[in-house]
Amino acid sequence: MSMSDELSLLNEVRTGKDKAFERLILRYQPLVLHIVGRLVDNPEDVRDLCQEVFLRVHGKLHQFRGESSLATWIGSIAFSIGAAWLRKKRIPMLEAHAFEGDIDELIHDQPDPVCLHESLVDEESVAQLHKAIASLPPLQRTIITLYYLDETSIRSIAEITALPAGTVKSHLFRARIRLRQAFTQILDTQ
Amino acid sequence: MHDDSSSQPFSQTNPDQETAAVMQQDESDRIIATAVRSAPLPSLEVDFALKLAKRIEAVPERACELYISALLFLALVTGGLLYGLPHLSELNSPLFLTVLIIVTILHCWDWRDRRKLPM
Repeated sequence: MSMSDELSLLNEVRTGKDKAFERLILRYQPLVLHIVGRLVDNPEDVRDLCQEVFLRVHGKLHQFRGESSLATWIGSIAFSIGAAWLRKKRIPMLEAHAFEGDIDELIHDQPDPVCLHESLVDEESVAQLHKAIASLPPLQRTIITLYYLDETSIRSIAEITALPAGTVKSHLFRARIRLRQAFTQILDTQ
Repeated sequence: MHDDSSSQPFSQTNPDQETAAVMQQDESDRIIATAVRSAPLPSLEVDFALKLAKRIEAVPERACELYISALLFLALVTGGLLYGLPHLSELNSPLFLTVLIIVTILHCWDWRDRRKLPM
Protein backbone atom coordinates (compact mmCIF):
# COMPACT_ATOMS: atom_id res chain seq x y z
CA MET A 1 0.00 0.00 0.00
CA SER A 2 1.47 3.33 -1.01
CA MET A 3 1.84 6.24 1.40
CA SER A 4 -0.91 8.20 -0.35
CA ASP A 5 -3.29 5.20 -0.15
CA GLU A 6 -2.50 4.91 3.55
CA LEU A 7 -3.20 8.60 4.09
CA SER A 8 -6.47 8.51 2.19
CA LEU A 9 -7.62 5.44 4.17
CA LEU A 10 -6.60 7.20 7.38
CA ASN A 11 -8.58 10.30 6.45
CA GLU A 12 -11.62 8.20 5.66
CA VAL A 13 -11.37 6.47 9.06
CA ARG A 14 -10.85 9.76 10.87
CA THR A 15 -13.85 11.34 9.17
CA GLY A 16 -15.95 8.28 10.00
CA LYS A 17 -16.59 7.20 6.44
CA ASP A 18 -18.73 4.09 6.19
CA LYS A 19 -16.73 0.83 6.20
CA ALA A 20 -13.40 2.67 6.30
CA PHE A 21 -12.31 1.11 9.57
CA GLU A 22 -13.44 -2.30 8.35
CA ARG A 23 -11.16 -1.86 5.33
CA LEU A 24 -8.32 -0.85 7.61
CA ILE A 25 -8.81 -4.00 9.68
CA LEU A 26 -8.96 -6.16 6.57
CA ARG A 27 -5.78 -4.57 5.24
CA TYR A 28 -3.69 -4.97 8.40
CA GLN A 29 -5.30 -8.09 9.87
CA PRO A 30 -2.66 -10.48 8.40
CA LEU A 31 0.21 -8.40 9.82
CA VAL A 32 -1.38 -8.19 13.28
CA LEU A 33 -2.24 -11.88 13.24
CA HIS A 34 1.31 -12.82 12.28
CA ILE A 35 2.86 -10.70 15.02
CA VAL A 36 0.46 -11.68 17.78
CA GLY A 37 0.20 -15.26 16.57
CA ARG A 38 3.97 -15.72 16.68
CA LEU A 39 4.32 -14.18 20.12
CA VAL A 40 1.36 -15.93 21.71
CA ASP A 41 0.63 -19.64 21.45
CA ASN A 42 -2.96 -19.91 22.62
CA PRO A 43 -5.42 -19.37 19.71
CA GLU A 44 -8.14 -17.92 21.97
CA ASP A 45 -5.71 -15.38 23.41
CA VAL A 46 -4.48 -14.53 19.90
CA ARG A 47 -8.03 -13.67 18.81
CA ASP A 48 -8.67 -11.57 21.89
CA LEU A 49 -5.37 -9.75 21.49
CA CYS A 50 -6.02 -9.06 17.80
CA GLN A 51 -9.27 -7.36 18.81
CA GLU A 52 -7.41 -5.41 21.47
CA VAL A 53 -4.86 -4.25 18.91
CA PHE A 54 -7.52 -2.80 16.61
CA LEU A 55 -9.39 -1.26 19.54
CA ARG A 56 -6.18 0.51 20.50
CA VAL A 57 -5.48 1.47 16.89
CA HIS A 58 -8.94 3.04 16.71
CA GLY A 59 -8.43 4.86 19.99
CA LYS A 60 -4.98 6.17 19.11
CA LEU A 61 -5.44 6.89 15.44
CA HIS A 62 -5.42 10.63 16.09
CA GLN A 63 -1.91 10.22 17.54
CA PHE A 64 -0.48 8.78 14.31
CA ARG A 65 1.83 11.44 12.90
CA GLY A 66 3.02 9.59 9.81
CA GLU A 67 6.61 9.38 11.04
CA SER A 68 6.63 5.72 10.03
CA SER A 69 4.35 3.78 7.72
CA LEU A 70 0.91 2.87 9.01
CA ALA A 71 1.86 -0.82 8.85
CA THR A 72 4.88 -0.22 11.07
CA TRP A 73 2.81 1.81 13.52
CA ILE A 74 0.06 -0.83 13.73
CA GLY A 75 2.74 -3.54 13.92
CA SER A 76 4.38 -1.80 16.87
CA ILE A 77 1.02 -1.67 18.68
CA ALA A 78 0.49 -5.37 17.98
CA PHE A 79 3.98 -6.17 19.22
CA SER A 80 3.61 -4.14 22.42
CA ILE A 81 0.26 -5.78 23.20
CA GLY A 82 1.68 -9.25 22.55
CA ALA A 83 4.79 -8.48 24.61
CA ALA A 84 2.66 -7.15 27.49
CA TRP A 85 0.64 -10.38 27.41
CA LEU A 86 3.85 -12.43 27.60
CA ARG A 87 5.07 -10.34 30.55
CA LYS A 88 1.72 -10.78 32.30
CA LYS A 89 1.91 -14.54 31.82
CA ARG A 90 5.59 -14.50 32.82
CA ILE A 91 6.61 -16.11 29.53
CA PRO A 92 10.14 -15.06 28.50
CA MET A 93 10.51 -13.40 25.11
CA LEU A 94 13.88 -15.06 24.80
CA GLU A 95 15.28 -18.21 26.22
CA ALA A 96 17.75 -17.50 28.99
CA HIS A 97 20.72 -18.58 26.90
CA ALA A 98 19.66 -16.93 23.68
CA PHE A 99 22.05 -14.02 23.93
CA GLU A 100 24.84 -15.78 25.75
CA GLY A 101 27.98 -17.09 24.10
CA ASP A 102 30.10 -15.83 21.30
CA ILE A 103 28.49 -15.25 17.92
CA ASP A 104 31.62 -16.71 16.25
CA GLU A 105 30.90 -20.05 17.92
CA LEU A 106 27.48 -20.04 16.41
CA ILE A 107 28.90 -19.32 12.98
CA HIS A 108 31.40 -22.19 13.29
CA ASP A 109 28.66 -24.46 14.57
CA GLN A 110 26.69 -24.01 11.38
CA PRO A 111 25.85 -27.31 9.70
CA ASP A 112 28.01 -28.55 6.85
CA PRO A 113 26.65 -27.64 3.43
CA VAL A 114 24.24 -30.22 2.09
CA CYS A 115 23.08 -30.79 -1.44
CA LEU A 116 19.78 -29.05 -1.26
CA HIS A 117 19.22 -28.97 -5.00
CA GLU A 118 18.52 -32.66 -5.05
CA SER A 119 16.63 -32.78 -1.80
CA LEU A 120 12.94 -33.17 -2.05
CA VAL A 121 11.15 -31.14 0.59
CA ASP A 122 8.12 -33.22 1.37
CA GLU A 123 5.17 -32.36 3.58
CA GLU A 124 6.67 -34.15 6.54
CA SER A 125 9.86 -32.10 6.30
CA VAL A 126 7.85 -28.91 6.12
CA ALA A 127 5.85 -30.01 9.17
CA GLN A 128 9.12 -30.63 11.02
CA LEU A 129 10.38 -27.22 9.98
CA HIS A 130 7.14 -25.74 11.32
CA LYS A 131 7.89 -27.46 14.62
CA ALA A 132 11.38 -25.97 14.58
CA ILE A 133 9.87 -22.52 13.98
CA ALA A 134 7.43 -23.06 16.85
CA SER A 135 10.33 -24.01 19.12
CA LEU A 136 12.11 -20.69 18.56
CA PRO A 137 11.82 -18.11 21.35
CA PRO A 138 8.77 -15.82 20.79
CA LEU A 139 10.90 -12.81 19.85
CA GLN A 140 12.99 -14.66 17.24
CA ARG A 141 9.86 -16.34 15.88
CA THR A 142 8.25 -12.96 15.42
CA ILE A 143 11.31 -11.31 13.89
CA ILE A 144 11.93 -14.06 11.36
CA THR A 145 8.23 -14.06 10.42
CA LEU A 146 8.23 -10.31 9.89
CA TYR A 147 11.41 -10.59 7.85
CA TYR A 148 9.96 -13.11 5.43
CA LEU A 149 6.41 -11.75 5.52
CA ASP A 150 6.06 -9.13 2.79
CA GLU A 151 9.84 -8.68 3.01
CA THR A 152 9.67 -6.26 5.92
CA SER A 153 12.91 -4.29 6.19
CA ILE A 154 15.23 -4.58 9.19
CA ARG A 155 14.55 -0.92 9.92
CA SER A 156 10.79 -1.49 10.05
CA ILE A 157 11.24 -4.58 12.22
CA ALA A 158 13.40 -2.51 14.56
CA GLU A 159 10.66 0.12 14.76
CA ILE A 160 7.96 -2.48 15.37
CA THR A 161 9.89 -4.27 18.11
CA ALA A 162 11.51 -1.11 19.51
CA LEU A 163 14.91 -2.82 19.32
CA PRO A 164 18.11 -1.51 17.72
CA ALA A 165 18.63 -2.70 14.13
CA GLY A 166 21.81 -4.55 15.18
CA THR A 167 19.89 -6.54 17.78
CA VAL A 168 17.22 -7.41 15.22
CA LYS A 169 19.93 -8.64 12.81
CA SER A 170 21.49 -10.70 15.56
CA HIS A 171 18.17 -12.34 16.45
CA LEU A 172 17.46 -12.95 12.79
CA PHE A 173 20.86 -14.50 12.27
CA ARG A 174 20.45 -16.82 15.25
CA ALA A 175 16.94 -17.83 14.22
CA ARG A 176 18.15 -18.67 10.70
CA ILE A 177 21.03 -20.73 12.04
CA ARG A 178 18.69 -22.71 14.26
CA LEU A 179 16.31 -23.32 11.37
CA ARG A 180 19.15 -24.31 9.04
CA GLN A 181 20.39 -26.74 11.66
CA ALA A 182 16.90 -28.15 12.01
CA PHE A 183 16.60 -28.44 8.26
CA THR A 184 19.92 -30.26 7.96
CA GLN A 185 18.84 -32.70 10.67
CA ILE A 186 15.61 -33.32 8.77
CA LEU A 187 17.56 -34.06 5.60
CA ASP A 188 19.97 -36.31 7.49
CA THR A 189 17.15 -38.44 8.81
CA GLN A 190 15.66 -38.91 5.35
CA MET B 1 14.83 -5.10 -1.12
CA HIS B 2 15.94 -6.81 2.03
CA ASP B 3 19.06 -5.74 3.81
CA ASP B 4 20.52 -9.22 3.97
CA SER B 5 23.67 -8.47 5.92
CA SER B 6 22.38 -10.69 8.73
CA SER B 7 22.62 -13.83 6.62
CA GLN B 8 26.31 -13.82 5.76
CA PRO B 9 28.41 -12.29 8.52
CA PHE B 10 31.78 -13.15 6.95
CA SER B 11 33.58 -15.94 5.19
CA GLN B 12 37.17 -17.04 4.74
CA THR B 13 36.70 -19.75 2.11
CA ASN B 14 37.93 -19.59 -1.50
CA PRO B 15 35.61 -18.02 -4.14
CA ASP B 16 34.36 -21.35 -5.59
CA GLN B 17 33.54 -22.77 -2.20
CA GLU B 18 32.01 -19.46 -1.25
CA THR B 19 29.78 -19.43 -4.33
CA ALA B 20 28.66 -23.00 -3.69
CA ALA B 21 28.02 -22.24 -0.04
CA VAL B 22 26.04 -19.13 -0.94
CA MET B 23 23.95 -21.08 -3.46
CA GLN B 24 23.22 -23.77 -0.90
CA GLN B 25 22.50 -21.14 1.71
CA ASP B 26 20.16 -19.37 -0.72
CA GLU B 27 18.36 -22.64 -1.34
CA SER B 28 17.99 -23.39 2.36
CA ASP B 29 16.92 -19.79 2.95
CA ARG B 30 14.26 -20.13 0.29
CA ILE B 31 12.93 -23.28 1.93
CA ILE B 32 13.06 -21.70 5.39
CA ALA B 33 11.28 -18.61 4.06
CA THR B 34 8.54 -20.79 2.57
CA ALA B 35 8.22 -22.71 5.84
CA VAL B 36 8.06 -19.50 7.87
CA ARG B 37 5.37 -18.04 5.62
CA SER B 38 3.33 -21.24 5.72
CA ALA B 39 3.78 -21.95 9.45
CA PRO B 40 0.34 -22.42 10.98
CA LEU B 41 -1.35 -19.53 12.73
CA PRO B 42 -4.64 -19.39 14.60
CA SER B 43 -7.40 -18.35 12.24
CA LEU B 44 -9.71 -15.43 12.77
CA GLU B 45 -13.41 -15.57 11.99
CA VAL B 46 -14.27 -14.92 8.35
CA ASP B 47 -16.24 -11.80 9.30
CA PHE B 48 -13.76 -10.69 11.99
CA ALA B 49 -13.21 -7.28 10.38
CA LEU B 50 -16.89 -6.58 9.85
CA LYS B 51 -17.92 -7.55 13.39
CA LEU B 52 -15.01 -5.77 15.03
CA ALA B 53 -15.51 -2.59 13.01
CA LYS B 54 -19.21 -2.56 13.95
CA ARG B 55 -18.36 -3.16 17.56
CA ILE B 56 -15.75 -0.43 17.67
CA GLU B 57 -17.89 2.08 15.84
CA ALA B 58 -20.80 1.33 18.21
CA VAL B 59 -18.71 2.25 21.26
CA PRO B 60 -19.74 5.99 21.36
CA GLU B 61 -23.45 5.07 21.10
CA ARG B 62 -23.09 2.56 23.90
CA ALA B 63 -21.17 5.04 26.00
CA CYS B 64 -24.03 7.52 25.51
CA GLU B 65 -26.58 4.89 26.56
CA LEU B 66 -24.51 4.16 29.64
CA TYR B 67 -24.34 7.83 30.62
CA ILE B 68 -28.11 8.24 30.23
CA SER B 69 -28.72 5.07 32.20
CA ALA B 70 -26.35 6.22 34.97
CA LEU B 71 -28.03 9.66 35.10
CA LEU B 72 -31.50 8.09 35.36
CA PHE B 73 -30.30 5.86 38.16
CA LEU B 74 -28.75 8.78 40.01
CA ALA B 75 -31.99 10.76 39.64
CA LEU B 76 -33.98 7.79 40.96
CA VAL B 77 -31.76 7.33 44.02
CA THR B 78 -31.60 11.06 44.77
CA GLY B 79 -35.36 11.43 44.36
CA GLY B 80 -35.95 8.36 46.49
CA LEU B 81 -33.72 9.64 49.26
CA LEU B 82 -35.09 13.20 49.12
CA TYR B 83 -38.63 11.95 49.35
CA GLY B 84 -37.99 8.96 51.56
CA LEU B 85 -35.72 10.36 54.26
CA PRO B 86 -38.10 13.07 55.60
CA HIS B 87 -40.92 10.52 55.60
CA LEU B 88 -38.87 7.66 56.91
CA SER B 89 -40.88 7.32 60.07
CA GLU B 90 -44.14 7.31 58.09
CA LEU B 91 -42.89 4.69 55.62
CA ASN B 92 -42.33 1.07 56.29
CA SER B 93 -38.57 1.57 56.22
CA PRO B 94 -37.55 -2.09 55.68
CA LEU B 95 -39.84 -2.18 52.64
CA PHE B 96 -38.39 1.12 51.36
CA LEU B 97 -34.85 -0.16 51.74
CA THR B 98 -35.69 -3.49 50.11
CA VAL B 99 -37.19 -1.72 47.10
CA LEU B 100 -34.13 0.54 46.86
CA ILE B 101 -31.77 -2.44 47.03
CA ILE B 102 -33.73 -4.37 44.39
CA VAL B 103 -33.75 -1.35 42.07
CA THR B 104 -29.99 -0.93 42.57
CA ILE B 105 -29.28 -4.60 41.83
CA LEU B 106 -31.49 -4.55 38.73
CA HIS B 107 -29.79 -1.43 37.50
CA CYS B 108 -26.29 -2.82 38.06
CA TRP B 109 -27.28 -6.00 36.26
CA ASP B 110 -28.58 -4.00 33.32
CA TRP B 111 -25.46 -1.79 33.33
CA ARG B 112 -23.19 -4.85 33.33
CA ASP B 113 -25.07 -6.29 30.35
CA ARG B 114 -24.87 -3.00 28.51
CA ARG B 115 -21.15 -2.76 29.08
CA LYS B 116 -20.61 -6.09 27.39
CA LEU B 117 -19.70 -5.65 23.75
CA PRO B 118 -20.62 -8.99 22.29
CA MET B 119 -18.88 -10.15 19.12
